[in-house]
Order: sequence, then structure tokens, then C-alpha cells
Amino acid sequence: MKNTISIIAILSIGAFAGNMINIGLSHAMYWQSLEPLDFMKFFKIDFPLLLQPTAATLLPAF
Amino acid sequence: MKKILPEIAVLTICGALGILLAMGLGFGIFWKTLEPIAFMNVFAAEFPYFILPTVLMLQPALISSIALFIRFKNEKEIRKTWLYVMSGMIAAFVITSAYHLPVNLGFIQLKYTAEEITTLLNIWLLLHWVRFAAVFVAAVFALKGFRQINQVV
Repeated sequence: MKNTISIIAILSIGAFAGNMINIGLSHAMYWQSLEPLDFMKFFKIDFPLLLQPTAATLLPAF
Repeated sequence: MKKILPEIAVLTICGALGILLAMGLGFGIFWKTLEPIAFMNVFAAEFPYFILPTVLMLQPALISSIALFIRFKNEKEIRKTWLYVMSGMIAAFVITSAYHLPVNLGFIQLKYTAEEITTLLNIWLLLHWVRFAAVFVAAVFALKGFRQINQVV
């Protein structure tokens, strides 16, 4: 049991880091390429989609 | 150096797992909501931004797992564990190179019809979860391998 929790913790912390790298290097760079108003429209669509992977990695990590 | 390589392997494999999860749950679900042609246009705009984080994680993950498999050639148990890690990473790499990359380039060039896009995107997502599973297995074995190395070194 202890072993399983350790594995879940390390995997999810690492995956959360990967998710953050993805947001920073992929989404954020794309956002910066957009005009401010276009960004805001796009972010409205994008934000709910970011929640799922973030919650899926951050919750077990926490 | 002996300890840095397993650390790099574990970090980058878990990081790759996070990136694949974000792609599947974030972008994948979004793409499915779009009309085929609209999807191809969005994909063409977004694809260049996927490359950097994916390469940044997948490449060191693959290289480090191969390096550790080779490095522990005299330690039977450790070698076996890193064989599983390496196999998972190679499977993900092969799927990406053989299917995702050529299809992605086709999407960027806007060269598919609406019907083709729907089929290709469904296969894209299916194979995406297959490569996610391969990297997940690799990550679990990488943690096991990391502990085995710490007991020996």
C-alpha cells in the first residue's frame, strides 16, 4: 500500500510538471501569438480544457 | 552522474506522461467538438507549439531509458526493468513517428477531405491513448528501476 501511494505521488507530481510545461511552452506561446481580443475569445474555449488534465495530475499529487 | 541519469529518466518519463495526458484530455476533447475542416485549421495553427514540450520530454526520456538499459548490462534484474521502460518508450516513439507525425503534417498542409479527417482524427486519438498507456507502463517501471539502482549504487 505504501509503495502504491509513493508510485502514485511521484507519477502524478511528474505528470503535473509535464502538464505545466505543456501549458507554458505550448498553450501560452500560442496565446502570445494572438491579438489580445482573439486571445480572450480563445482562452474562454481553452480554459475548461486545461482544467481536466490539471485536476487529474494535481489532485493525486496533492 | 550515476544517479543523475535515473533521475532524468524518471522526471522526463513522468513529464511526458503529463504532456500526453494534457494533449488527450485538453486538445483531444476540443478537437472532437469541431467540424472537420475547422479542426484542421485550428490544428495547423496550434501544431508548431506542441513540438517543443513534446520533444523536450520524450527525447531525453527515450535516450535515458536506452542508456540505462545498456549501462546495467551486468545487473540482470535492473536490466530487465529498464528493458520494460525502454520498450514502453520505444513503442510510444514508433507510434508517434509512424502515425502521428505524418498525419499531423497532412493536417498542417490541409490536404484531407472532411470524411478523411474524421477517420484520421479518431485513429489519432485512439493511438494517442495507446502511446499514453505505453508511457504509463514505462513510468511505473522507471520508478521500480530507480529504486533498484539506488539499492545497488
